[in-house]
This record gives sequence, structure tokens and C-alpha cells, in this order.
Amino acid sequence: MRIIYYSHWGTYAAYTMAALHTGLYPEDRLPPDDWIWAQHELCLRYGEQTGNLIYTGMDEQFTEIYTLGCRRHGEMIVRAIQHISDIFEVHETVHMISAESLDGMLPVLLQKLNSRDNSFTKMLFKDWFYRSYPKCQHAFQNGKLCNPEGNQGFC
Amino acid sequence: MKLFYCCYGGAHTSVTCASIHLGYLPDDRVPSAAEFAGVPFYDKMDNHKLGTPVFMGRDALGWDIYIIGMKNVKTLVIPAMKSYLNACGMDQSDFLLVNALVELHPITSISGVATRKFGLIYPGRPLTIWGIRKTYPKFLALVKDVKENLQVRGNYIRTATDFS
Repeated sequence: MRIIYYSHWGTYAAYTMAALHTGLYPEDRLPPDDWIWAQHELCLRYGEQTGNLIYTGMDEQFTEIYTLGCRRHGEMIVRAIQHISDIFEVHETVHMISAESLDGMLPVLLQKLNSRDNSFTKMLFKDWFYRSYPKCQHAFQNGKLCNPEGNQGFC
Repeated sequence: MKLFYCCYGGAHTSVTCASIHLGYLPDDRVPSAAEFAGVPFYDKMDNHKLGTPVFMGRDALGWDIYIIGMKNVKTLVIPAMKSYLNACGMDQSDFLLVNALVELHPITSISGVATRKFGLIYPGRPLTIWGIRKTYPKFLALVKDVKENLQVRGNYIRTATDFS
């Protein structure tokens, strides 16, 4: 099975959710600053590269976890991927989980400023991360509660 | 072997190309307006189903022909589909995408929006047909190129197999 977290940009809330899922980020506290700056770096490098899957890792059930930036076309891309999966007879199921509501507005500004890697953009990113992380934790834990034994019912 | 004709709404231009390719529409003359009525999926794709590939048929060379609407973000949808297939380890050598957005008569575009977005089937649909008939030679040229390329490709693969 594969799980794809998607949102407007694939490197903000979608990546945070994916990192929580793979265990890169702890579920009970904020990750260390180095990890936050690493995600900032990821946003600088790959934020604009929407439409390409970013592999994040595997969870304990060997489910491959990806993130995907879909801009404002999440629903259409979900349909395209799910149907292409059927057409090519990909036997492993794919679950696509939206993190669009967790992104907020700040990533839009950050992406506009993304050529500028300075203390201001870092501060903005950290501010966004501190605000969004609890929401992502909450969403991730809620998703797990749907089906604690596996990812099938992840919602 | 799968070939996808891609366009904005998956309702007119891609359907026309796929229909010429599969012989639902003639490739030697401009069809009458009534002939479009018999074309499957013509002016049928709903906006909320965009991104869904629709199977139109299998051609003489064995290619499965699909149509798909991608709005104006094919640069987003195509990488998403391809990177997903890559992640799944699928062979993409027999997966082709053809841009079916030929230069249209403006009436076709306007009436296409009228039917699909605003539900104005009449007069929208007859006007799309009128516009497509006006630019039909462009569709014929596109499909002819595609078929020639598929033929060359088939010959090349056959030759390569004979040598191996």
C-alpha cells in the first residue's frame, strides 16, 4: 500500500503529516530545530516542484509514504492517480490524504519569498511550523483513531 | 499500450481526436453535425469528473485509446501520473500522452464553456460541433501524425525484437 499526503504545496503541511506518519517527527512534542530548518530547506528547494511525488519514507507496516503538491487541483489529481492506478493494474492500493486545510496562508507568502533564504523567511517558517504542527499532530492522531490496526481506514 | 488524448475539458477536442483515431468519425471528409451525435462521450464530461481518464476503444495496432481532461494544468497532472507510475515501478514505454488542444475556432471554446460550465446544452453543443467542423482538418492532421508515429514505433519495436 502507498499513502500520499497532498496539499497546495507538497512540502508544508503535507510533508509534516508524512513525517509524522513515518516517525521522523515525534507525535508528542515538536521536533528539534535542525529538523524544522531541514523542512524549510526542503520548501526552498522543492516547494515549487508541484506535481512530483516526494518520497518521505516507510512506516512500521512498510507502507510507502509520499507527499505531493497539487496547487488548487487536488481533487482532479486524486482522480487522475486513482484511475491511472486502475488502468495500469497497480495491485497495491493507494490512499490519498488531503492536508490542504492544514497549510494556512503563510506558505503562499513563503513561496513568494522563497528565493530569499534569510532570517526573516526563517522566522516566518518557524512561526508557521509552530502554529501548524499541533494541527497536523491532531489530524494525524485522529486519522489513526479511525483504524488503529492499520492504515486502511486512515481518514 | 495506452494512448491518452489530453485536452482542457475532456469533452470535445480529445473526444474528436480519439473518435477519428478509432474510426467513429471519418478521416477523409468533414463529418455532418448528425454524425457527432453518435460519438460516445462527446460533450459529456462533467466538470467535477475532470482528471478521470475515459476508455474510448482499442485501435487496429492494439493501443487502448483514452481521453482525459486536465484543465490548463497538464504540467501538473502529467508529472503526477508519471511520478506515481514511476513509484510503482511501472514500465512507461507504452504509455503515451497526446496534446489534443489544436488551435480551435473561438466559437468552439466559448460554446464548450457554455455547455460544460454553465449547462447550456442548447445552443452550446451545436456551436461546438459547428466550430469543430470548421477546424476538422487540423484534427485529421494531428491524428494522422499520431497514427504514423505509432506505426513507425511498432515497426521499430518489431525490428528490434527480430534482431534480439
